[in-house]
Amino acid sequence: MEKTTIHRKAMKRILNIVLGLAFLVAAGSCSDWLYLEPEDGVIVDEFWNSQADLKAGVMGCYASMLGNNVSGSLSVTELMFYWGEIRADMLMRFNNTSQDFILIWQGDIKSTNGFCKWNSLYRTINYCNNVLERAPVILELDASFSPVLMNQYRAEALTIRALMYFYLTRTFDRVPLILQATNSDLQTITAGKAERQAIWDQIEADLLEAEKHIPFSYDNVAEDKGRITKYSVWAIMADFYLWIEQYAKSEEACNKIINSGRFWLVPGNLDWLSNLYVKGNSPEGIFELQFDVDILNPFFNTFRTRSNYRAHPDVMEFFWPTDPFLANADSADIRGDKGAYNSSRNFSIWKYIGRDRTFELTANEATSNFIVYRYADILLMKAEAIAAGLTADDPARSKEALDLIRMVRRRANASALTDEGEPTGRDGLMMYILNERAREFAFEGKRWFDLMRYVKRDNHRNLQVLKNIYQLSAPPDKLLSIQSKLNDFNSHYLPLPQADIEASNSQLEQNPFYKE
Amino acid sequence: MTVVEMDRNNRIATGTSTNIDGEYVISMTDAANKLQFSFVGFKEQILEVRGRNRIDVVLEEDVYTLEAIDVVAQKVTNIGMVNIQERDLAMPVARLSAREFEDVQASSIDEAMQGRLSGVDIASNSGDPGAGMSIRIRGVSTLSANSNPMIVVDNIPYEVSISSDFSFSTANEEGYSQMLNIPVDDIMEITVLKDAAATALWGTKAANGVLMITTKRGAKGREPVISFNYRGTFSKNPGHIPMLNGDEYSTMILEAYQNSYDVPLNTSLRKEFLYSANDPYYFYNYGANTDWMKAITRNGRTGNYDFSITGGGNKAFYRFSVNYQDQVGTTRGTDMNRLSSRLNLDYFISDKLKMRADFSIAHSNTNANYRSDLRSVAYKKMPNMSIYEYDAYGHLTGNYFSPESNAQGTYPGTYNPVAMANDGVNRILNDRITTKYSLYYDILKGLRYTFDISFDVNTNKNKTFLPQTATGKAWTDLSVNRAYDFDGDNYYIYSNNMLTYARNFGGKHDLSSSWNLMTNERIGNAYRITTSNTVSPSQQDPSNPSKVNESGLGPGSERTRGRDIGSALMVNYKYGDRYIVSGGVRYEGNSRFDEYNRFAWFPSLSLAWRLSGEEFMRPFSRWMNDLRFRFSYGENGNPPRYEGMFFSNIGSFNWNYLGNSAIYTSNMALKSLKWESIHTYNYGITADFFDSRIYFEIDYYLNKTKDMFGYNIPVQSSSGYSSKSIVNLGAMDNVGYDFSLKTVPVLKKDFKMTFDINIARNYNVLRELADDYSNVRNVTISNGLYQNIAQIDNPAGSFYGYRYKGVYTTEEMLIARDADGNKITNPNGQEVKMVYDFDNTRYYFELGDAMYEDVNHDGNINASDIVYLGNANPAFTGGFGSMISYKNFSLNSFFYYRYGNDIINRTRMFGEAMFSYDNQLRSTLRRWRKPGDETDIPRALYRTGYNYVGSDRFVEDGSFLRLKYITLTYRVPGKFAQKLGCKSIRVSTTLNNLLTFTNYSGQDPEITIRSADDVIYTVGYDDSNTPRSRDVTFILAITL
Repeated sequence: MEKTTIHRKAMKRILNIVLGLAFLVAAGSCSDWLYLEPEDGVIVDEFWNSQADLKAGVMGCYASMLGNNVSGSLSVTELMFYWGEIRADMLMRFNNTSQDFILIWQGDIKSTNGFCKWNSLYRTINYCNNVLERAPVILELDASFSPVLMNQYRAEALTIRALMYFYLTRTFDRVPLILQATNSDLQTITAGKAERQAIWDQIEADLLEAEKHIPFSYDNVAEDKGRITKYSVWAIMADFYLWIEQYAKSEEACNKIINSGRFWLVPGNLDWLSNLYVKGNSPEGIFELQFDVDILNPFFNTFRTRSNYRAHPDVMEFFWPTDPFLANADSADIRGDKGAYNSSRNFSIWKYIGRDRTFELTANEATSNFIVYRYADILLMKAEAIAAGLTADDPARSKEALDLIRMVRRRANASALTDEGEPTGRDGLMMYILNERAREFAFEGKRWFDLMRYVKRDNHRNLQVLKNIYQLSAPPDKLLSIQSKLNDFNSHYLPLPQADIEASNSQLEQNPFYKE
Repeated sequence: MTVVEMDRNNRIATGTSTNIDGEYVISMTDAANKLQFSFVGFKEQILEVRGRNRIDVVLEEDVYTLEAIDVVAQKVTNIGMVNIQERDLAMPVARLSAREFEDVQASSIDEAMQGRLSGVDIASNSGDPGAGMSIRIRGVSTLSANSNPMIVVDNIPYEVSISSDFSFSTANEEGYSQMLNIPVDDIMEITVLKDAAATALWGTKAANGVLMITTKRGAKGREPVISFNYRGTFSKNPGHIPMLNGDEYSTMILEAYQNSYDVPLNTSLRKEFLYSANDPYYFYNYGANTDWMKAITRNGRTGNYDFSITGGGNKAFYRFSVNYQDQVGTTRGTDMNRLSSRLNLDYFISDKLKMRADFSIAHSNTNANYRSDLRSVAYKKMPNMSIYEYDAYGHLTGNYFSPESNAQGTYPGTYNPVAMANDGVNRILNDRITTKYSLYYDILKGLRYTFDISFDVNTNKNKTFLPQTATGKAWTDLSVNRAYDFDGDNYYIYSNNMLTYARNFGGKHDLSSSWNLMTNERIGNAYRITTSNTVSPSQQDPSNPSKVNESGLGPGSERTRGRDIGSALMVNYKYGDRYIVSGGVRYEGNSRFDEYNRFAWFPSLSLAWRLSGEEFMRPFSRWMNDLRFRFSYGENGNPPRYEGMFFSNIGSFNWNYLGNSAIYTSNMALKSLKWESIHTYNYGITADFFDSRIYFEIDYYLNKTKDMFGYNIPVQSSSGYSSKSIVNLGAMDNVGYDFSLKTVPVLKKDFKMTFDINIARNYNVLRELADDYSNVRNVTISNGLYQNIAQIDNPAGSFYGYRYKGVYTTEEMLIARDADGNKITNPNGQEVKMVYDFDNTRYYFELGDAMYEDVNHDGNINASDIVYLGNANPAFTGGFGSMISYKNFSLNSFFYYRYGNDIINRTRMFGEAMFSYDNQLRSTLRRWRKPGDETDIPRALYRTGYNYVGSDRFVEDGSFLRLKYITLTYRVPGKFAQKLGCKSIRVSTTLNNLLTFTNYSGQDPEITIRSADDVIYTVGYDDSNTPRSRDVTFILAITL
């Protein structure tokens, strides 16, 4: 009798335990118990609710161009610079030059070269795509949000995306055209190359759409220069139409900026360097990426602290020949010695180092903006559009172009030695513009694209010009092989990054010149 | 005399003791209870009260006469909560008891285990104190290469590393992998569960195998035993590979520059090579012959002190121990000390209810070098530089010579290694408190309920400081006097509810089964701050005035949380001591997965047949104690390393844009992530002959990994992301066998000799790869790189490259030839020279350049000449050893070996590159210098040429046989010891790593088996970590 009660008691106890635990499992509370949201961050599903969120997203698109939130590749700003300079003639190796640069300098360009990594541009494109997709949804969620503002944010993202693709297509020719935001691994991540025309069409469409909704001004100087405005859209258009050789449209875009009367050249006096570059956001600036103490301009470190590169002395001498009749160097072209470079400091790239013509910045003062477009660019782009668009001898139009070149030269106090006189023909003008752009935009990430525009015009008739520029800059023993490679026009573009090709499941095909 | 009231279950209710005359009064709580009368030296008596209020008792003296008694003991093996007699195991399990390593110098248990267990491959990460070891049980089941097994201490899972969600900005994971803060002396036994059937109970964390550690406990009815152990070790500086001295180095640099550019190095710009007394600053500072490696190494030592007291009464057992260890490493700036203590308590509340409580606390302080590349920087450092700076007049200043920049570049590429070792700080303070409580309740005969709960607190503090004296950076630079302080707290809460039932039916049927529900919760909080530019190198704390508001600086915090829950049902059935079946199923859920893949089932089954138990084997039973055949199958799985992978997160930039905060989506949501599942088949035989004089186990296994994880897998960056942090990548098989033999060739009264050997072979075969996963890494290779191809149906971890054919010494050799040996000509009929990568680089070889085999005979060395060169997987691993004891002496020796693996000797690769301003190995003195030289080392070329492209020149056989230890022990005769007041005294001397037999030309063939970047491709790279030193250890063990 006693035994059975013990049994019964024990059994009951077991039953309770078993049932209790079984309940735990069965009730499905278990799955909830295992659902843990990260405690130290915001997840996407809980973000993108208000216009403030969207604005932070748009600012993220800009901020992503300044530096790398993920390490391991060059930032957008750095690539804007390098893609415009590394394959051209003005940069030279210095104390701590990277192996990647030396390989390119020697004409040994491989898909594994770090300068081919386009990661940060696509990262920015993905942020833009996120903004573009979320904006209409947020309009539904946030009652205080107006369609006008929503469209303005979208326009900013569209323009940044177009700018990124513009850089990509100029550097690699055909690239994957990604217009959807990637958020999860359920999406298809591999992508092949889009047709060149499709990329161009997309850039044009995005810019035209943005032009409709983007404001002229944000009523604040820094924002007018640092964010996309109508003027920056037009500046990109001018550049873009030049690239795709639609010169009339390019000129039209330039005219819109010139006629606005809101921009003018910063005077070419002793404060030119400090006003235009160091302080920044000058009346000349159209679109400047805004660096500050939290994120310093990377080039001070590159050129000064790490001494990665310097200006090529022979090329500098070519563009800014020493004038034997000028006793005082300060009365020479402001853009040359002590402007773009400094001959007394190992030909360091002074544009990013100098506070003015004499003194250096210190590391923490390197808050200069990176100028993507400025008024001088518009003037010379217009000149180029006119020159390239000339079909027959047209003295009036030639004069118009020449005046624009002279306007820029006059501001810079350009030396008579670099004056190319009064070329009236198309070829002479184009050459003059090419050289003047080299002087005006030395080390601003423009040179290679200028050369490419020049060379690819008229079925590469002027390929020899490109070959010739290497005579000053290339290593002598590599000169011939570099020049012979240029005969294949496909070599004018960089190889697509190896890591991407490998990860693409054979979707992405290497550029023709670089195929194994 | 003690009088105790006891209830039905022998639980003590009340108690009292008699006075000197033997009188007592006790007030009982329940009349039905019994009284127990006991006194030391007398038989105890238990009497029913039956309503009496006076009970007189006379105790009898307790005198035993022992007659011949046969004691039959069966080894019992703990496979996790249930003990199974070892002879009834159907699963592959390896065991190591404390006796086997008690006299061996080992700072941690993994070191003690190395080579002792078949199929368990252990290699140290480096010879630095606290650097930890990597363990692989039966090979690597995943491409991510790092798959350490689960550790279980006294039936409770033990987290080895701190939460991997924490990103340490300066310290690498290695610094934290110091395996267990458990002193070797506290360990009684280690059991290794090798296959999924055995690990099934433990669930997914156990997918890479389980290392079960049982600590020593007190025992019933033992008087206190106090023991004291001292171990002192001296580690000889292992020395280093000879490098060029300053003069030889300068000669080489000047030669390299001339070879490359056909002009001499301009020494007025590169004053490091000027050697002009007119410039005393450069003359003295760059006129030295410094042996940098010698300057950063030293002899090491270790002191280890153990104290323990063990004992137990009728109701309670205890063991209490304290251990202190103090270690000084052979690289300057590395040391470690640890104080730990442990208390294990068992208390029998009644016959049915038992309680256990274990407490352990360890405090350790590890000093590592600020930069983990200290040794490789010291190797490369310009030897003509002085350690200390001379002023412009040539007087030694006593300050470290750390120029901001010179030929070799700037920090972090190079720095003053001596200053870094002495002034740099990288201290890790670890406090670990582990407490566990267990309750055992026998509900019915054979049915037991167990409840375990454990709280584990693991706190790490990491302080680092980068002194300006080592980098020489300008005072405004952010790497100057950079201070970092990290606090990370991890809490683990584990609970387990289990019912076990064991019963024998009708003599022949043995049934045991268990059901449990296990939960784990992991909580981690971390906080860190980084500042720079404190005013002086003595101000090493971030709280000093310093810069905070710049990129890379400032505070940061992380919080993580993870949970898993699992329930398993296991059944064991044995019929007539011959047929054994056990099986089970586990259902598990983990918070690391999205809802679709959160839960999974893992079944297991094992069978054994004891041939020796059959009737017809009876004639052999005199010597054949056991012969059984085993089969087991099991599934297990691995969750990913990180929490919250299936969320896409919003991150904020560290900078604003125009004063507006800026955000971004920081990662792709990995919603399709699944378990990495592992399916194991194991076939084994166990034999025990002549009462274990011959004992062997042989196992053949097949481990199939499906949905194998790959970490940081590159994705096409047009997606906006560079990599997925984790993906299910493919499938991999590990096939192999383990063999273990234990023999006792001599067994006499005074003379005993044992000989043990184990061999394991593992073939690792890649079976499947995801389509978008690139199976080739480095399609085109260049200097310093090998190609890696993950070839389906081939082992992972293979290297590909060129075949090195020596040096071009004649013009004839430079001419390209086709397969028939005819000269290749161009369309103009001119002879074509050998070229490197015609399509891109187009480098024409010259005399003195490295010659690679032109496999396809096209005169062009390019990707199509790349061939298979070797792989990092060893063919065999294992060890053998012998213990000889004669009277009071015993000699214990053990060899450890790896055979058939290849190592890429990167130290030699970069040490013979002669490509930059880095110092080079002495072997480069043999380099090609002028036509007519016959040598195997190419000429020096500064920043050009292709003289050290990945080739078989640097792939070496990494096989070795190492005498891991040899120990001589003397046990002081008992009588003599008693005169000294001790129960026993033991002294012994051990020599560690005395001999190593290898053809490997590097410093130490025992390279780490983990990979630096979490990818299996880089396994087998020797980057000159601190080699193992030769140690001499003296041990004194006293028991009171």
